[in-house]
Amino acid sequence: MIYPIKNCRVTFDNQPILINQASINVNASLSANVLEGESLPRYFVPSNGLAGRVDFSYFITGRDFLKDYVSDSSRTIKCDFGGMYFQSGCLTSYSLSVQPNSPLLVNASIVFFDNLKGSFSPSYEYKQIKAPILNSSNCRVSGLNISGDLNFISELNYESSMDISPVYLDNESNIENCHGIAFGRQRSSMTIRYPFIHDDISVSGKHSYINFYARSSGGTLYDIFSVSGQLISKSIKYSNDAPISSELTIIQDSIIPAPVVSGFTPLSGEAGETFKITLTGSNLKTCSQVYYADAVSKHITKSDTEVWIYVPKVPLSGLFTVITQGGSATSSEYFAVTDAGIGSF
Amino acid sequence: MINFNDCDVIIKGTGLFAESASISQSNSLSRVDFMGYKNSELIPNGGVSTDIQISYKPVASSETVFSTISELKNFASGLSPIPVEIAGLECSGYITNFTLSANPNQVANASVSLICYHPIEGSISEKRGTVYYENDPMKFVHGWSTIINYNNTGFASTYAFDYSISFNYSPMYCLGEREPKSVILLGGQERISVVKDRNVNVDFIGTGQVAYIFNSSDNTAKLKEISAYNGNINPFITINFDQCAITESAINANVDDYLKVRIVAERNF
Repeated sequence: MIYPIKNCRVTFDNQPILINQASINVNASLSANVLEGESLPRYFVPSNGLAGRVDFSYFITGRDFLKDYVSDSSRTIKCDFGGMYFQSGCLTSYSLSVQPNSPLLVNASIVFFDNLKGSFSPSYEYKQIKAPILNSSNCRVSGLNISGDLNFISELNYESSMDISPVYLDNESNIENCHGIAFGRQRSSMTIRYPFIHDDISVSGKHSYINFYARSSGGTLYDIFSVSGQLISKSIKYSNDAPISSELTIIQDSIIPAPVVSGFTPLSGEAGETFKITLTGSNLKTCSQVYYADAVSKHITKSDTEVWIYVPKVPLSGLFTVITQGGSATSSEYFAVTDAGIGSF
Repeated sequence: MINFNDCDVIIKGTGLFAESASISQSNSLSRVDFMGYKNSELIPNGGVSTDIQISYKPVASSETVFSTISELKNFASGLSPIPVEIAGLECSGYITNFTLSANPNQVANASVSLICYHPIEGSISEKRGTVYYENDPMKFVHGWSTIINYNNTGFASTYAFDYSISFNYSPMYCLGEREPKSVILLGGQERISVVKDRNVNVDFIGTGQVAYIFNSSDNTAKLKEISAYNGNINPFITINFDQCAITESAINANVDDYLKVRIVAERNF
C-alpha cells in the first residue's frame, strides 16, 4: 500500500506540528577493511554507534514550542514519525526564514542516538487545521546599532546550531545506545537584507542586536527571535534585476537567558473584578507580552524579577505565560477565579 | 447594469476614447499540505497586484500617457504611480507597456498596460459627467498626418508604423507590510516596426542603419492630428529613435499585393 503524507502523523513530545516536508535517516557507522593487495573491502566493522537524524520544515502557527529547545539544547525530544519513534533526540539546528508576505517557515534538524523503534503505522485520524499560519506581513523588527530604517527589511534569516555528539564508553556492552550526549558550541546568528549600505564592519566588532517579533494578523505577539552580539559581516549585492541591497549578519556573543516564573500574588479572585497580579521570577526585564488563559493581558514590566499583570473581568481560571527575548515561561499554578455566589446582597 | 458608453476611462484626469478596458486583480495564494492532516491550506505567499489594460484612440492634444513615458525613459527622480479610473474603480499604477500604431487612412491606435500594487478604491458606477472628452473628430491622431520620413522623399515610403515600449519594475516588499514600500524602475525596451518597399541589410552590430528608416537628420517619427494633414501644425507626439539598432528585416511577397519589407529597430534603456 502506498500512502500520501496525510497518513503520516509526526509529533514531537506529543505536540502536533504543521510539517510540510520531512525526512528521517539512520546510519550505521561502518568502516571498510581493505586488505593489502585487494581493491575491495573484505568486511565492515562498526566504528561508532547508530546515529539518526530527522530533517523537517514546518510553518509557525503561534508560539513555537521547538524554539524553547534552542535556548535549552540539553533537553531531549521524543519523536513519533508515523509510528516509528525515538526517545532521546536533540535539536541540532533551527533556522527561521522570513520573506515578505510569506508564511514563517522553520527548518530544523534533530539527531538521535537510540534505536528507531516501531514501524510505520498509517494514521486515519484526519484532523482539521485550526490555527492560522503566521505571515511576515504582520511581523515587526527592531534593532540596535543598525543604520537605516528597519522597516525596509526584505529578507531575514535566523539560525541556531549546536554541535552534538554521542559519548560511548570502553567495554560498553550495549553499543546500540550511547552512554551520554556531549554538547558542543552553540552558534546563533541573524542575517537581514535591506536597501541601505551604510554600516561599516569594525575590526574589533560592533555590538548590535536584532529582534524579530512574530505576530498574528490581529497584532498578537507570539514569539520573539533575538540575536544580540557582534555585527560580523556585510555584503552588498548589485544585480540588474533588483535594487542595490546589503546583507548584514549579527552573530550571538552571549546567552539570552530564558525567563523563569516562580509565582504570583494573589492566587485567586472573584469573578467580575479586574485584578492586578504581581508575577515574580527572573530574566523578566525584556518581557514584551503576557498571556492569561491564552489571551493577551495588559502588563507593566517593573524589573528583572517582577511583572504586573492586569487580568480582565473574565470568569475563567488560567495560567500566566510571559514572553521575553530569551523565550517564554508559564506559571505552574492557576489563577483561580471564584464565583461571588448569590448569598451576598 | 452599466452600458459601455456609460463608463469613464480616465488616466491622469484625462478621459480616453477607449475601445476596451480591463482590470484584473489577483493575489498570491499557494497551496500547502501537511503531514498527518486532512485538509490543505491556501496561504499568502506574495502580494496583491492589479493589471490594467486599455486600448484607445489617441487625441494628439491631450495624450498624457506618452508624456509620462518620456519622463520614465529619462529615469526622472521620484517615480510615482499614475492615477487610473475605469467605470468608477480607482487605483494608481505603473506603466508596463505602451503601444502606438498608425496605418494609412486610419485613425491611430494606442494601448497602455499598467500594474498596481495598492488596493482598488471606489465601486462600479456610471460616468461622473465632469470629465472632459475631446469632441472634435479632427483632433484624433491619424495615418494621414503621421510622418516617418521628414522629407517624404528618398528612401521609400512607409506603409505601416508600430511603436511599443515596455518597462521593468522591481516592487520592494518588506517585512511587516503587505504593499511594496517602494517601486524601482529597472529599465525597459523600445521597439519600432515600419513597413516599407525597400529593404535594409541587417548587419552584425545593428547600428548606423536607423537613418535608412527615417532618411532624415533627426531620426524621429511625428504623429499629428487629422487637421494637421497640411503640415502646418506642430506635432504633438514625437518619437525619437537615435541610437537604435536594427534587429530584423523581413521581406514578404504575396499574390495580389505589393512587395513589403518589415524593418524592426530596438533600443534599451
